[in-house]
Amino acid sequence: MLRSCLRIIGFSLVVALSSSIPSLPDASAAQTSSPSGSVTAKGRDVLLDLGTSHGLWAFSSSRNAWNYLHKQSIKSAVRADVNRNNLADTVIDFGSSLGIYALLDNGNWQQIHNLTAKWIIAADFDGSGRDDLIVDFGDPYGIFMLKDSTTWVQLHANTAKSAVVADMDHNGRPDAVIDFGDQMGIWVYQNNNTWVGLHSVSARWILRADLDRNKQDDLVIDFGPAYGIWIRYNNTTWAPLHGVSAKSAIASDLTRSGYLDTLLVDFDTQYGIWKYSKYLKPSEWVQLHGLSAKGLLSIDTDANLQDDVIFDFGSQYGIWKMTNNASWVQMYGISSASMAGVTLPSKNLNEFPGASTDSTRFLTQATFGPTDGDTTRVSQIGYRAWIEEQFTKPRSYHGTFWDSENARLKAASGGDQTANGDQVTGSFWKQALTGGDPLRQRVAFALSEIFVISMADGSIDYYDDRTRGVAAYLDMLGDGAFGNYRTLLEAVALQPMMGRYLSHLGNEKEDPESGRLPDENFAREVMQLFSIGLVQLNLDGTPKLEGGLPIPTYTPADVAGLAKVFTGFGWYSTTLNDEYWYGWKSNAARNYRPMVAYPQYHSTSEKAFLGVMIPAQVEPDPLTSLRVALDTLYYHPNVGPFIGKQLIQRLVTSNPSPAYVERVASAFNNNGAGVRGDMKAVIRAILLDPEARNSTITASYGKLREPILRISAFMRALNAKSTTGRFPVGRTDDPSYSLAQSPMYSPSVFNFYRPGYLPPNSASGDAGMVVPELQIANEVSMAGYANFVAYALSNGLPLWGTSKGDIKPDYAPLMALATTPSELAERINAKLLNGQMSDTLKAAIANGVLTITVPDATATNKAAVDEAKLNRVRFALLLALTSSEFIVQK
Amino acid sequence: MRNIDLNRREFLRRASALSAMGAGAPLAINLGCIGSAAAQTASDYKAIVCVFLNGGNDSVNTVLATDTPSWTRYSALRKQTATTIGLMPPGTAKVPTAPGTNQKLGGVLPVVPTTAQGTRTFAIHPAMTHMKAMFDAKRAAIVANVGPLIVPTTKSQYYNDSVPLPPRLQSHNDQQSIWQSFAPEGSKFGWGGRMGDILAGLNGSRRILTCISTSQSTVFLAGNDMIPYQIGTDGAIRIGWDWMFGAPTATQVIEQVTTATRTHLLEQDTAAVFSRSINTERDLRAALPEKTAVGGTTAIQYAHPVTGVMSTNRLAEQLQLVARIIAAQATLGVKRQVFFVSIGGWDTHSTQNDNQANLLARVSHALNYFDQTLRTLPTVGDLSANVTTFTASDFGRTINSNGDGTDHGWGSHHFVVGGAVKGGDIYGNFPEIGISDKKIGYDNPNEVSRVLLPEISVDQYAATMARWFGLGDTDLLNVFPNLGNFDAAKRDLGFML
Repeated sequence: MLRSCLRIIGFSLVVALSSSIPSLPDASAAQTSSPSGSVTAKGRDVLLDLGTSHGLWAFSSSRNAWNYLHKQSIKSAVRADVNRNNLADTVIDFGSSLGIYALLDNGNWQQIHNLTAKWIIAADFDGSGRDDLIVDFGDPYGIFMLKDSTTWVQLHANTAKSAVVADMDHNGRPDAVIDFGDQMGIWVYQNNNTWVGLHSVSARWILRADLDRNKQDDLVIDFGPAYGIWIRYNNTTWAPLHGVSAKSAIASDLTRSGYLDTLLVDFDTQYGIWKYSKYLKPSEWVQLHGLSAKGLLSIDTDANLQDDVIFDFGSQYGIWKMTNNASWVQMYGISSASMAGVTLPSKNLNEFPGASTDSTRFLTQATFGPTDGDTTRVSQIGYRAWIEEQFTKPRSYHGTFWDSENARLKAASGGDQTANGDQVTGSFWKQALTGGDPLRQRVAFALSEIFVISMADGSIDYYDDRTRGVAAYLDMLGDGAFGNYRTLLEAVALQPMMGRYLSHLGNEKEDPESGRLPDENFAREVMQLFSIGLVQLNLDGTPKLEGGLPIPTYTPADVAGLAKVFTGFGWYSTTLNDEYWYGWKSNAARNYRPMVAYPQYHSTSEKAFLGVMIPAQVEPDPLTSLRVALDTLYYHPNVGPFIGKQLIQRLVTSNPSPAYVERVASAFNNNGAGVRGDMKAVIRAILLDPEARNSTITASYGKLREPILRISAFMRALNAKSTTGRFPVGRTDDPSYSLAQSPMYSPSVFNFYRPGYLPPNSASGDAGMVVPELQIANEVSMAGYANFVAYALSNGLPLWGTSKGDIKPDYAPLMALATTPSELAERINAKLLNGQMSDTLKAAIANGVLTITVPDATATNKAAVDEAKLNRVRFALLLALTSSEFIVQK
Repeated sequence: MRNIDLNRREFLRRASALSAMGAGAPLAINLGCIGSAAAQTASDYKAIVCVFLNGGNDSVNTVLATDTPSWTRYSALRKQTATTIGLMPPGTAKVPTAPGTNQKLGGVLPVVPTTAQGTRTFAIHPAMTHMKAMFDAKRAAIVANVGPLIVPTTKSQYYNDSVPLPPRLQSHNDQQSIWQSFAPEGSKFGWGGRMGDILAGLNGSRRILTCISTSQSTVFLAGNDMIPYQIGTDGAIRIGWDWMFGAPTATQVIEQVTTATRTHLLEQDTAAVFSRSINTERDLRAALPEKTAVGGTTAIQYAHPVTGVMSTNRLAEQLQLVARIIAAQATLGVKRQVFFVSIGGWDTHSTQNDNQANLLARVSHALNYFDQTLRTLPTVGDLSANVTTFTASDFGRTINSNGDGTDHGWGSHHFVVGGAVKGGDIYGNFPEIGISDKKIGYDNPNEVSRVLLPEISVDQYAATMARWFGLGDTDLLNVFPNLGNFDAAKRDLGFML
């Protein structure tokens, strides 16, 4: 099929070379522009091969994050949909050792061929609607097409130098422009059936563009130093562009015209990189940069229909990005072996924060607040690896703290004083502010707002040694954070403090004589709050509807039936008699060891609930009843979306998209290895999801930080320490003078706020959003919070009492910036607002700080100077911490 | 047992004929309709105060029928032993050394309603001595067997699923929401807020002070326009102090920063809270009288019903703040206000004897303190006939007990207190207290599944007060979505003067 004769197109030689910057042709008359053309590589993510020492990386533009793909350096990469699902994949040629692979949109790798290629191009050459690959396997194989990514067909026995995709005959179907080298020149494989000669001279490089904006592809061809750069307009006319041959070039849409009408031409070190467009004023050519680049890539990273350009300026300068033809930013300090514009899969990648503020933003979701140490660690090893590392961190136990404090207090008071609720909150704050396993602690806290117990009422009580059981409860939630939901559910059901709180400890079977029936409290709440919720849910968390109305998950009859299951469970004891049941005698560990079954108090009658029936038991069998009940709840399809969505709300955003909820609920249903209820899988799904990592913030994204989290972020960012090591914060639930929230002091089993709270007459309520944490953010509590912060800044925590000021932040790093208010504001931005502070707020903080006079330093006034600087820091922090920009986590 | 599915289908079948229970829908009236009827030109002041008992108060032990047949049945059900929850008969002396709380409390306190109900006699919980005094003085009324209903519902209609029923009965958060807004959790407007929408015009520029809560954020006070104003028992809190951290204009800078305009929706709402907080505090700062002018810290102390130990009554503390705000009414120029206060702990699945006694003592003491205080307010004098206070709760509780407590119920009895109340009477038919048992051929028409089937709907209860407050017929039917389903003659229960 090879044509041996080619038409040779005559052309005149162009301008003679000169050693100075070449003179440029006059701009020709501008074409009238027409709407919409195509833009470059539609992928937004930048694939960067950083060589054998660093491996293959990609930068996700939407998530502002680096992804490590493979340890091996590559030969080339191209974007194509090879698994035929209309989602872009990345075809990567790893070289002869591995061959050609595709990184599919779902994150899986698929081998395309074990041979390596000289070049690969991708397009729908045969018009079938599916991408085809044209692969040049070199001698002795030749050029092949992988039609529709399924069938191999040889196109030519010869091998070629390079190839480019362009629609030469303007019939809407891409063709392949293939440069066979000096012997055969450049040919077009047109419409998947015809070879058409284009030129007998081989090129240094060829690219596709639309320089005249007429929606028909032009080619820009550099024929080498002898002939210079030419343009093949619309497959009809040749026109010279420049007499100087260039190292490389790319076509780009830098002006948002809708056409690839701008060229960036790299004339090598002598002349640097120039920009050319017919439409450029005042001159068609303008120098863009004096440096030559190792590689150029045109790619629209921010999806605004205006291309950005990535420049690899070599190892001395690294990789830079010119965004929207305007601003320059360095992307990476080292050079790459090659670059390509691709679309990364949205999951299963090991992502790294693009900037340290991405790291702090992640830690705001995953912990009680970012610290320098954690921020650095996330930047070093990436999000996924950090999470995995957190799963292995050693534990500190609240119970241990309570016990040691109890011993200390007793010794110090001669036996009068014992540990109580204060030691529970002390342990909570100690671990929240300084614990070595921040992810576990954060998730345990979130769980404590779902599986609620509280010391606020008499059932557990603040003063009692039952608070040892509350410490144990928090430890149990810590176990549950990284365990299995089924184990957690059972641990909750048997925890004695839960037994006290929801009154199923000591719950007795029905007594037909007196008419007494078992207490229904726990049975109701274990369904309503701890497992399945009130209405049937789809996997994406939306309610199922029948006739337009939600479908209840249970009836009062189910509650009554389930209540019988939770009878006969009582205080831990090795002797199961009335004395221990009623508590006249007690085992020393009863406040924290799981409840045990006292069969004589367990209901043996038939128990029917949720479509399940436990038949009447001849011998009471509480553990079987319990197992059946908990299994029934565990396997209910509601659990994934019900619990998953609430965890998303606690950590990331109050109004997740149904798709996000579905992804998390799916992870609950199956962790990938066939296991249901794997909390680690749920945590990964929540924190690594694009909706969590995506750094583009919309007006409805995010959540209010609840008061405990505002204070913890503040204290952690400033490295707060407790003088005594006991973190005696105490209760903080007063709204007028404190935080309106105290850990483990919820006013009811419904937590301090409801997941479905709709704020009245509010911007978010009107938009149909729920804003749970706003339920406790009102005119009195916000004022109380602001004053609390002000006093905490003045004196540390707690605000009053014998331990006043025990916990103090470290202001020294910020004090160094006290005389440069803008920098102070910017540092606070980085530490507390994840780099999201508006210019208005920065200015307000800087100006506010300036109203505080710092006296000129003299020999004797150091204390006054320091106090003034400290006040500046305090005031700046107060403004930052009470701003809505901080209070809202996004 | 009642089949939920049948009920829903039946409900849907009838939905077109009746007001729907969709969240917000019945209460989202066209703003053009507001301001109908009288109130826009009222010269007097009126306030309604909702005292919400969070958790569901056991009404069966709060108001009791003490005639022999009633009491016999009650005693058989609840038993008066040291470990059961039955209360002692009227006239029983207190036995401070008895093992059981009920013996310590002594007998229930007889009350004689003006209107006889057959030969039945009545009493209230022994801890409510102040309430008995108010009832006797005709300052307090009892409304019996109230609960959420969509239409009048008989026992057989309930079991046959032949009428629509309120959703999610016996679920705490949903029933609290239904009492306050006639829709389950997630509802947008409460009837307190809706009354505020209609009458806020009378408050001129002080609209923000129309709906006020001293307690937690609830839907009761949310309206189309109304945003509940939240205030703590120490009054509005001022942010910051002069020369904070050496900054001469600190409070202004803080105000500028906290209330800054933002495009992010959550930030907008956060800033709006700060704005309301700062602006309203300025208004109230000068207008509120001191606590000492309304009884100070001593008047809000109450005696524990068993131990006699005095302590601060947090409910009275909230009502003290309400009294101070009411006293500022003339200074601020407000004419119609709706208040929400609350007291929690009523979910007595266990240890009911101790807990309920203590809670009822607080309610009784607090309502009496409030009524007394309203008669001698600083600046404005006696406004006790201008303020009506009522109790509400998630639900009543089961007629039977689970040992030392009770579980979630439905119908409940409540108190209405004030100078404008036709006190000293029981409104509504006092229900029979007993659990139907086919085996012995006993059927209680007022009982379904061991709980009281309400005879009076929350709509009727609330509308009676709303009418006094100033809403006309059209507004009443708009604000109370189920009111139209009840006999026109019963839409006003008649307990207001």
